[in-house]
Amino acid sequence: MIKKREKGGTMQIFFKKVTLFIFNVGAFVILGCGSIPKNQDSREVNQVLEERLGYSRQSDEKKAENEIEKRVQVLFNEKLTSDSAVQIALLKNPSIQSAFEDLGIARADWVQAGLLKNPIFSGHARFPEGGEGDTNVECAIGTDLLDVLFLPLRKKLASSQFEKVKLRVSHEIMDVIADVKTHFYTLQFTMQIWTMRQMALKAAEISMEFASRQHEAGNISSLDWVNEKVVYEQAELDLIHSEADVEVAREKLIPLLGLSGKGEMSLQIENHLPELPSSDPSLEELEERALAQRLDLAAARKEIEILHRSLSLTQVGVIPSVNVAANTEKDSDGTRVTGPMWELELPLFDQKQPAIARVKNQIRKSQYELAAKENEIRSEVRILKGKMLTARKIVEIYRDKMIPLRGQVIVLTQQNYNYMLMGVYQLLQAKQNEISSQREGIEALGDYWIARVDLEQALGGRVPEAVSEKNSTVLPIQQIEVEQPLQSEMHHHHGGES
Amino acid sequence: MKRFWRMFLVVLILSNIHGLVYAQNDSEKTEESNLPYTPVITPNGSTLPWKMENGVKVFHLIAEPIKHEISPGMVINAWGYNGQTPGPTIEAVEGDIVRILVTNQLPEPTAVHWHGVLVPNGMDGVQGLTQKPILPGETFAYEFTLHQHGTQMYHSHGDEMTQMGLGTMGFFIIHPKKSEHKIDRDFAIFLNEWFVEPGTATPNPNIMTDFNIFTFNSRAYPGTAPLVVKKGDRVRIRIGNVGQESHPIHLHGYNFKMVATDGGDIPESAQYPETTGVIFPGETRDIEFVADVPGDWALHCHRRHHPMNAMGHDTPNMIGVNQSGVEEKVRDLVPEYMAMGEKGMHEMTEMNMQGPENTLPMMGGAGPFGSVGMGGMFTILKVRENITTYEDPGWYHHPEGTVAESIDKSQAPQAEVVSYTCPMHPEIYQESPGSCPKCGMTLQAESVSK
Repeated sequence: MIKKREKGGTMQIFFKKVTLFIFNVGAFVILGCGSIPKNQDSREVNQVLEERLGYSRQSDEKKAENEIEKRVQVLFNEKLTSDSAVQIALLKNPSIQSAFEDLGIARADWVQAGLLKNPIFSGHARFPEGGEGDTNVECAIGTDLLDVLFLPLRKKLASSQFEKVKLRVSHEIMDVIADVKTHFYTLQFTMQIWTMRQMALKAAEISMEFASRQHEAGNISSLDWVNEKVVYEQAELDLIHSEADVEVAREKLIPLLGLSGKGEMSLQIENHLPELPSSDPSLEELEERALAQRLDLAAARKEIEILHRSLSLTQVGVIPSVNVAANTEKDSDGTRVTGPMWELELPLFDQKQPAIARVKNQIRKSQYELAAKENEIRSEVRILKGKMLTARKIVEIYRDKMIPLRGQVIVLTQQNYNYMLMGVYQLLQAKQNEISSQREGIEALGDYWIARVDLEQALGGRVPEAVSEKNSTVLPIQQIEVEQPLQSEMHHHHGGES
Repeated sequence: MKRFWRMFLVVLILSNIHGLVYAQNDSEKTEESNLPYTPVITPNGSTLPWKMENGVKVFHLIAEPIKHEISPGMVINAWGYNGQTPGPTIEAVEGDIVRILVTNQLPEPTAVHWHGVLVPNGMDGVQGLTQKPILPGETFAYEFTLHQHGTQMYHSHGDEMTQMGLGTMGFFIIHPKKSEHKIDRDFAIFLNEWFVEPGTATPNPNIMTDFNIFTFNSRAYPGTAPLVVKKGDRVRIRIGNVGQESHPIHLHGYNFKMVATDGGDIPESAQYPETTGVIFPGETRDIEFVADVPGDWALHCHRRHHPMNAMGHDTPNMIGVNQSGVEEKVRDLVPEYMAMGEKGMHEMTEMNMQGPENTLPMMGGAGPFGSVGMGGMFTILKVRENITTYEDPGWYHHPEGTVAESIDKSQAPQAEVVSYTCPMHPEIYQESPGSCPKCGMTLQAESVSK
């Protein structure tokens, strides 16, 4: 009896310890989940935006809605620039807001992963047949022991996933910002082109007016007059096309700024593109910069990390479940027996090999995808760099050569006009040609700015001007160690993971 | 051969006598007082000096590219002789033996044809036909006796489109041994046409008909020197043309007679008074008159666009086109714009605007009463009393009351005004035809003095 009691006492202590462990872990998890401030996530994303693009949302959720509206209103009071348009988008664009909400969703998932499965309380009662004896009552409280043991692993996995979401959110927001800038520049240059088309129409109108008066005086034929009218109508058509372009550009920008377009705010924008900057961003080692900076690449790398973690989890999970419980039973004869209970799955038939193989395949697939993406990004960066440099050259030729030459043509045509060697139509045509060159110059300038935004987007962040020092140009980012796909492929063949 | 030497000897002796008689002091300089003729004046040009060498008058022409001023403000890349176009005037006397050395400093072969001069065939100067080309750097000698007198010419006879198009020609004047009558002032004017694209400096030798610069002695008005004569002078004007067009040369203030062609003197019986003489390509004409009426008399080609400089052919016709309102609109786009042409072209001569470089205004020239509004083949015969030199005497001072001028408005004849009225309703008056507003009858025109 004593021995038995002793034995029963040991069991009791064990049971108590298990119970305590379950309780403690539960308490830790419950306390732990409330200890990280919610705003930290958006602050982190803001920090990334600040570092990469020089913008920040300057908003936290505590600020009241009308506070934000006030700030937006202040930005709208000035003529919009590409920078202030981005600021407004950060505050108002629903897609950006929606991306920020993804952070909350990811955080919820992360917290969820840190929670233990709830313990299971089970019991049954059996009644003696024929009315003799007491009711047999059996109760048990138990939990999955592995769940507790795997908790740190699972939390690591969830945290990687959360990091991945943060990267993805930042990337999405940067894409929206790039969209805002592209459409802003598009609106600016379509507006400028519209101005040039108006000038061209004016020149055509004057030509037509001369023709009309010459015709009235009996100096030109109806044929010549009608030809002049045709030229004018063509200029009018060009203006209408250009007007439509402005409308489309405006309508595309409005939702990006988070506006409904119901006329809540009139869009006053700086109606000309910024001048060509004297220098381009530093174009040194652009491809390396892109590979280091791109947040979607970082997210893809994170994904590989996640797969590695889930592989560990799967491998550990060869024994899928170990349930432990405390069980107490009052027999019908009145004796109470109390003791632990365990239950474990024996991995005899299913040793999770397919699941492990699957994850391994997924890891390699992701690594190949990453390699493909890296090559695509390198190519994209080279193309966009070329586009930007070509656009710069074209703008420079228009600005420094073509347009001044067109001006010279006007001066020289004027001199010929002065000596009655040429007529007013030739003078107006010289002006038309100048206007056309100015328009083409503006188109090239638009191409430049849009290529620059595209390049920034391809690089995953703003590039400092060429004047800044080479070493300081690469932004520090957390490097995640990921094996190169082909090397890791070899590695996989030589040894497993754990 | 013997005959040639005999001839040569005779000629040599004769020319020595000539040299002794006519060029006594120094054969290098032709001194006017010693010459048996009135030397020819080539306005804006010069006479070619000569040397006597063993009785032969030796001249030296150098064909070369030159810079030539058409008129102040316009210098062209021409080809000429001895630094000028037309080349210097060769003057000699009937019976002279002349040796003319021609050095070619042009970039291509040339030859010089003595146009209208009766020469041995081998001296005729037709490149390839009567002689070898004078290659760049070579000097050829032409030698012949002058058997005639009159106004002749010389010009290149190789690649004529280029060489003559760029100015290689000149006068060859042979005075008679003995003049019938004394000429006081003997002028020579070479006519020429050029095409110089406005804003350029090199005449385009490929142009055949559409010329834009018309010159007297390769000068365009206001760059042409005036012809200054004393009242009572007998004046001869020799006019030569080796260009593409004929030129009716008109002299104001006088009747003249055409006294000679390049073929010789015109018998007096065949002369008749006229005011305009047409000189066709390849011709010369001498006109003569006594300058007995003082004044500044215009002498010009009578084709309307010839006393005029370059003008646009394709410019829009703005005559009578009201530009008010549009002019300002153009200035918004082209600030220097000035409306022109509505009331003709005269206003251009007064605007003094900047034209293309190296280009003459279509018309201009400051006169005593404002802009003369001429260009091209235009010059002034200045006839003066009591002058001692033939320097440019300035503008003519008209005796009082001899210049047309504006008269008092009250003295001006009344302009007739036509008005329209109704035969039935005389109170109806209007300035344009129509029908009566009262009865609908057609209004009748009637003249009223305002």
